[in-house]
Amino acid sequence: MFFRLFYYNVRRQLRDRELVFWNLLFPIILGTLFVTAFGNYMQKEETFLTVDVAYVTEDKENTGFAELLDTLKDGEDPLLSVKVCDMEEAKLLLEEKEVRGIFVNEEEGIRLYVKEEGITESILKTILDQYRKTEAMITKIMQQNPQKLETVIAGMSEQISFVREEKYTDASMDGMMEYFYALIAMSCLYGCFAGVVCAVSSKADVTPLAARRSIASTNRFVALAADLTSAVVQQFCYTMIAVLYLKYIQKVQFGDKMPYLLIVVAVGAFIGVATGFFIGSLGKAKEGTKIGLALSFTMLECFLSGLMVGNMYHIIQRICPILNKINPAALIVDALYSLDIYSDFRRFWSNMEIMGILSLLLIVAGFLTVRKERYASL
Amino acid sequence: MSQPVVVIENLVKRYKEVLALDHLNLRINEGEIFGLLGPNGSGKTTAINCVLALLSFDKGSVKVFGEEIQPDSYEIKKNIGVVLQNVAVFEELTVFENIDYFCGLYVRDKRLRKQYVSEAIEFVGLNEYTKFYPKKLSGGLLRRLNIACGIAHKPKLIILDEPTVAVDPQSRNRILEGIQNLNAQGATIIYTSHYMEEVEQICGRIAIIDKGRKIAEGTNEELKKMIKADEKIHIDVVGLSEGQLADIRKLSHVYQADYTENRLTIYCNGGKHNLVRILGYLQENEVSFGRVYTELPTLNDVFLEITGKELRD
Repeated sequence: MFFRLFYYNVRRQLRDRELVFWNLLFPIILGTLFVTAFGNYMQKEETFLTVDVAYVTEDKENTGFAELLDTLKDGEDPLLSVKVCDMEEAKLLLEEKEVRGIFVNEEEGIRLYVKEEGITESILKTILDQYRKTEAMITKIMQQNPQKLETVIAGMSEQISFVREEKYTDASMDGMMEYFYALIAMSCLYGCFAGVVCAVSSKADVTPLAARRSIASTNRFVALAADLTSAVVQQFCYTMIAVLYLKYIQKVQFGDKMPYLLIVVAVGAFIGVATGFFIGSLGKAKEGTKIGLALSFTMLECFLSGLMVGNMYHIIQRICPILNKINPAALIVDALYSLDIYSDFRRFWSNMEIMGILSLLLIVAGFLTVRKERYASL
Repeated sequence: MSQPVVVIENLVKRYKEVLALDHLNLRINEGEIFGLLGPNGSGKTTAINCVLALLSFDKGSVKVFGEEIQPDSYEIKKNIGVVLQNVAVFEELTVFENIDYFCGLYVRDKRLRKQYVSEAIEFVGLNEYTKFYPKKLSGGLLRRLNIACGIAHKPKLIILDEPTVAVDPQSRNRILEGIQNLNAQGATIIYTSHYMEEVEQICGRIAIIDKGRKIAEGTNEELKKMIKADEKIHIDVVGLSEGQLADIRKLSHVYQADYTENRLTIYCNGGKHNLVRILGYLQENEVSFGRVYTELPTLNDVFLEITGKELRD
């Protein structure tokens, strides 16, 4: 009986054009718009890393600095792009913003000339400051304790290698990812529509269809379980289709932790359906009204998790952190984010636990409402 | 005497201040078509919903197949088929799928279910529409689908709550014939309607209810014998005076005569040649008249005489 009802529910949901649009196509469309909107920004960040700079030697030798520049312009992802030229040409390049700064080898040492103030210019200044400090230290050691120079240089190299970058995941650390995580949360929580339908289909005082089902000889709990399961499975599939589309077609970097992403989407779909089921179980309002209410509630959850304003999650965390602990959208976003930034899964599982408990509470509360044995009026 | 399938005793149901069922007593026997007749809001649907354990009630008892029915009386429910007043089908499922879905709520055996579904489709004449979605069906066909969903599992007791509302005459006749066929196949039928002609046509026994009370019960003939009128005569008359109307009222076997909008309606109890006598009076008094027809009393007359109002008021 369960599987038959499950089968027919899936069929019904697949043919429900509104449901297919909002739960499957809308997240895909919105995701595509996000990629289009953020694509340029992401690209800018990449080019931002390689800074164009001019180096004017003034016919003077500074082997140390020249070697540093060589190091920084080498590799697949160089920090600097260096053009060696005379002062006149360098000024022209700076004027035309072809370069962001000029290193000049003067009598007093290396000097930096920039035209504007910004992050790029700060990077150039940091490079120069670091060089000056190292140069001064080496000069001092050479003067005071030349026999230890080799050890110090070796120690510096070790220190550098000690703080090398360790990647826990291949996920993008891009701030824009929060939007995509909020989008996944929204898609999961759109399971509320199917949840409302599940509840309304069991309330004989709301629809004749529910009345017909209520007077049948099928156990109400079995029918409800089939309804809810099919709704969760369906929503899980819809969201996963959207995720896979974004990952493989739009090349959004969701990282290499797909099994965990599957868990988030499954629990997210469950809480989405549970929320809708609870809302649908309240009162005698029509299905459309309840869906409207569920949509408003879901969009509020998504707003607070950062779907519309990227750093909203952090603002809420500062103002009212408990809200982030009970907002399913925020929990989904945080769980996905935690996969990118933490090596262990404590925070991830904690979020999943909270979502699981919230879902069960909503389902039980909804069930206690719709299981009503007899109605006072129909 | 046949076994009672449904026994309603002293059923009282209140909606706040409104008394929807006022100590209603009904006994529906196995194998009969039992009509529940009453105007809109008389309590027919409320009574049905109490029988189906959908509605709570304040007092009394409802027994179906000899047992008090409860919401979880699944064994009893297996033998009940219901055609609700409002069409209750899934818009996203085809005609076949809808019938299969609802039949499947009662019948687990796949092969048996398939057979039942085919028979139900045949029964309501939707063979050509099995792949249609409900929104593509006309009102009449939709009602037929609604009926098929309610009876496909071959229940022993079928409750039809106003199944012909907003149905075209062709579909209505088909539905009424179908109900008689179901009864012939052994099903007990409870048929609620405010269309007296339908109830007269198919029901063996009829209960007339008004304001939640049963005001009369019996066969069609028994109910009609409860009232004085044996014959009703309608004559289109132009310019009948008050004096002439008073004269007509004094004619033998005439116990009531009304004249409104150029139509004279005369109620006679017993006697022979009433029509001849009345027409003779009109001719003698040079009253011009047109169309003349007579009819036997209807259930509406029964209702009118008992309650003082028309069934469709």
